[in-house]
Amino acid sequence: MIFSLDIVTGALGFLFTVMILSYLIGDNPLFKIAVYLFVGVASGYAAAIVIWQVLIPKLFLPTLNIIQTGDYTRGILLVAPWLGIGFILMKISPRLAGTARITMAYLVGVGAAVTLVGALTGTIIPQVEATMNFFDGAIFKPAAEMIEIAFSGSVILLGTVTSLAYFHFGARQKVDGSTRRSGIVNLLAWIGRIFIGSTLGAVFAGVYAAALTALIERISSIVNFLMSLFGLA
Amino acid sequence: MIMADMVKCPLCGTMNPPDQKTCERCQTPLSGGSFQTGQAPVRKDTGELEPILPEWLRDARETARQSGLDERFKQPDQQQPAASSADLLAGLQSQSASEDEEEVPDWLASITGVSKSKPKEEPAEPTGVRWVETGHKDDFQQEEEVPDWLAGLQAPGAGEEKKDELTSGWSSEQGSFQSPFQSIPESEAPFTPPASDDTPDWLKQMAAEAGEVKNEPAADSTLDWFSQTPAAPPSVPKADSATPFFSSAESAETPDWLSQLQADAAASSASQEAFAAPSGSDTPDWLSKLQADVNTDPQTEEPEPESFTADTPDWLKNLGGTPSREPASFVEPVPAESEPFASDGELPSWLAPEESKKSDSTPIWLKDQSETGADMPAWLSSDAVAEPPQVPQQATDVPPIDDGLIDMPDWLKSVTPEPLIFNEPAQPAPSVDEVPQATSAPAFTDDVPATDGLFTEMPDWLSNAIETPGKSLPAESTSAPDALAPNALPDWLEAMRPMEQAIPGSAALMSDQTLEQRGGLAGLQGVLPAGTGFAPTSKPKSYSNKLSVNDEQMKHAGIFEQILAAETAPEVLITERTLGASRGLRWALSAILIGVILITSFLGTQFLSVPVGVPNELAFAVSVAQAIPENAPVLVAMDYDASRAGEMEAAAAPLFDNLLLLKHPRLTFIASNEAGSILTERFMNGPLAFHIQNGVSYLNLGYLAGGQVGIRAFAQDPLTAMPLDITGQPAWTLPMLQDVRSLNQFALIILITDDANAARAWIEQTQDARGVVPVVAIASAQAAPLIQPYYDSGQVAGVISGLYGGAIVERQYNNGRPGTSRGYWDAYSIGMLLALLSTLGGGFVNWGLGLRKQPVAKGGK
Repeated sequence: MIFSLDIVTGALGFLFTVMILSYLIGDNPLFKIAVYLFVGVASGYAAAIVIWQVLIPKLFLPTLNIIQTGDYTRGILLVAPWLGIGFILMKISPRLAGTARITMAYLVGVGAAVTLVGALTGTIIPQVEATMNFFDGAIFKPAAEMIEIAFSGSVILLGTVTSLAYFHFGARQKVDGSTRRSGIVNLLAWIGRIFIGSTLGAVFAGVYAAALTALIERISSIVNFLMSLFGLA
Repeated sequence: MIMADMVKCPLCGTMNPPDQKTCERCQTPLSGGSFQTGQAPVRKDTGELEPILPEWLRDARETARQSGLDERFKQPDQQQPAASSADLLAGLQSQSASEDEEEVPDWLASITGVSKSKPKEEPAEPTGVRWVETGHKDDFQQEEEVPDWLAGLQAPGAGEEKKDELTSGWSSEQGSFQSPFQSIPESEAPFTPPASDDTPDWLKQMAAEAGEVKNEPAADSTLDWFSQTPAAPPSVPKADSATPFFSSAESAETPDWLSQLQADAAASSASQEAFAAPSGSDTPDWLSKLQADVNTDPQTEEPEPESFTADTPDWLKNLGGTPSREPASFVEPVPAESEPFASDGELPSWLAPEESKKSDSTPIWLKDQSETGADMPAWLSSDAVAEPPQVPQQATDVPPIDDGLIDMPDWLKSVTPEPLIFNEPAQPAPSVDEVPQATSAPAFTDDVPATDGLFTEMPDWLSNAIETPGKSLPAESTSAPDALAPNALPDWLEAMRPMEQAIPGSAALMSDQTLEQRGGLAGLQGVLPAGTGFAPTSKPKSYSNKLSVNDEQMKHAGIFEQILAAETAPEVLITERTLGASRGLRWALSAILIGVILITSFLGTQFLSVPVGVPNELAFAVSVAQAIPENAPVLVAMDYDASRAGEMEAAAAPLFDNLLLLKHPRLTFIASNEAGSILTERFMNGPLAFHIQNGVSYLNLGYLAGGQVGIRAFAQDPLTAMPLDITGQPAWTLPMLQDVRSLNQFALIILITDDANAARAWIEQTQDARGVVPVVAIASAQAAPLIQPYYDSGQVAGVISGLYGGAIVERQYNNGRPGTSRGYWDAYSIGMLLALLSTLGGGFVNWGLGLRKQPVAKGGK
């Protein structure tokens, strides 16, 4: 009898699904085994991907090629990654762990720069322009459409402003000694709290929907497996 | 050092070397000290203690000896007689001996038949003072310091035994202080002048002549004071009659005055009552003995009286006279602060007559003898003795001056016996039993402070007046106002008594012989006089540690205790009942949901309709996808987790199915997470297997490392960032990526993600590089709301949101192909309905509960 790989995978899938769903009765060893396995497998696979798809093709093979060809001019670029690797590995020794800060600083700096530029040019500016440009052209639209655009735009504008006002924590000390924000800021923050709450609610709904979909998919898979296993498909 | 040789300190018990005199720890004299702790006082020979006497007292003693009154200062044999009078005169004798040693006339020497006394070795005064202060045994002058003539007079063995001259008199066996002129005790060996050449000649001579003197037996009288000291033979002129002090053979050197005295004494018939024996004889013992010895041969061995022992000097024995049987306790009192014997004419009382009889040249003591009518020696029985000497009331009384002694040399005057003794009326001498006992007197009285009469004034016996007896003496002695009552102590003598006896009303305390149990004086008896108010009369009161509180105080204490208990008592915090995890509700909802899914999945129901309306973002997404040319390169970013694979595949499959069917794009998959590449394979070989089977190919570039930096790097230079595919083949030379060298050469970028951040990263980083290339986002239901702004901003062309969007695309744009979304839709719908109902129902319940608690909370306030 040849065991089909699908049967094995199906059976393991069914098994681990049941083990994960056992969390309904509380934390139990089956659930933990499933979780530990998932973490382990995921970590192992990730390590394999990094080695085979990053280190080998982008570091080891070029280095080997340069050594073989002797074209060290092209190998200059490889000095930096090799140094970075060396510095990172210095963290093993507590005495030499300070050298890893060089690589970490480079990575953090470059990443912060990229993130900052991207956020600036890809989110903040376009979002601001979009907010400002939402009313652009509404005047030339029919009345109903213009009203709809105006209303939508207003809501969007109001939501944006109030949400930002909610995160304004600058306050002044009053005569009675209490520290409070100004009235307008408090009002806008109160409105912004509504929008923020609504947004979080929508996000929660999306999370639930995603999880439900995952559950449905899992249960369907199990059913299909069992049906195929028992020939009921 | 052998432990056996060590000396143990009697006080602290410390072991000390044998050669140590004092304890190393407590400085207590170890051995041979003046006394040991607990040691009973021992009688000592006062003659041995003579060196410690003041010089004036020593001189007085010596003078007394030389005056012919040796018998009164007999040294007891090995024991100090109780009489302290001899000690009093010991100083006189010593003094007289010391001062007048050289002046002893030959006539006296010839009388006594004693060789001239050798020069007395004057004891060193400082040493004597030092002795008195330290009281150490070694401080006393040794026998070698005693003048030879005096040493010879000492009773044999008397130097061997130390005597406390201050207390021996008080601690005598008889316990009574006796007049210094009491009779010689019978039990004690009278003084026996040693038959050595050291004996003064006059003394010897006296002894020799003693046999010629007829002494009237003095029955009971005892001259204690006379018998105590090895007194030098007083230089009393010898009477013609058998006088004890003068030999019958009067030398040619006898002064006239002495001869006169002898004559007078012979005529006198009364003897001095001061020397009366307790038995009632008026004749002093010494005198009696003198009388008795007159008729006896001094050399013949007469049956000695009992009191006479072998140590009794021969001259004294020959003098006859029965000494008193009562041992005279001789105690040399502390020298009174009286004027030393001075030869300035101030005669002692016994030598100087009373004032009333100043005209009488007969010595007072001789006068008394004559008054008594006793058979006194001629020299003693002087008719001139008319009046008994007055008992000196005070020690300051001027002693009566005997006219007859005016011509006497000073040295003789100084040793003149106290007139009191001789002038005492004929009264029976107090018997031994009647003698007041001094048993209560403490043994040691060194530290007894002197009374006024002792140290501030000349002793009364040096005066002409005879004081009355001591206060402690019974009143019977006051019969004769002028005479010394039996057992009456003169004031000066009384003053020298220990403090215990002098303190009025302290008889009981003085009699206290309580042994000290603790402290530095442990072992001593009666050391500290228990003065009034000092001695503990009762057991110390024990005080209770309990507080005495009344009922009101107890109440207050109870209230206070309650207050404190309230402060320390833990306060129960009022906490709201927390909503615990409802396991039953969780299980119920789970059961319902899983059941519905099972049923619907198993049954494949499709009774719930798919939503009809198409969101704008979805429509635009589909329209953009359908607007790409055929066989256009399409970049697909697979950035979702494996857990979201079911939803994402359900959401993305309809659009990809539609594209593959209509546009046959060249799909290039890339992923910014490690699992993206494998999920790509799953996606293409699962819902889109139909197309793979039909020869549709795709390119999987694999994992793009670096996060946003990698995405930006890929956006800027895709060939450098991702040169190879997952198989290791150069990707950019493959037909799938033909003519594609940059990001903006793709026709469409499809972003499949379940995380808004990943979508944002791709959107932000590729903003500049992609140019006009549209981006379609196929997002999970949880990420779609966060990606919507990018759609609103135009950065994203369209958004397909989860299973909802997939179902719509599948139904509206793909003719229900592949059908995965439709199969999940009933379960998804029921699940969403359950969630809606649960949320609303729970909200309503919570709201109702809150409304019910509000009145209670308001009522509590």
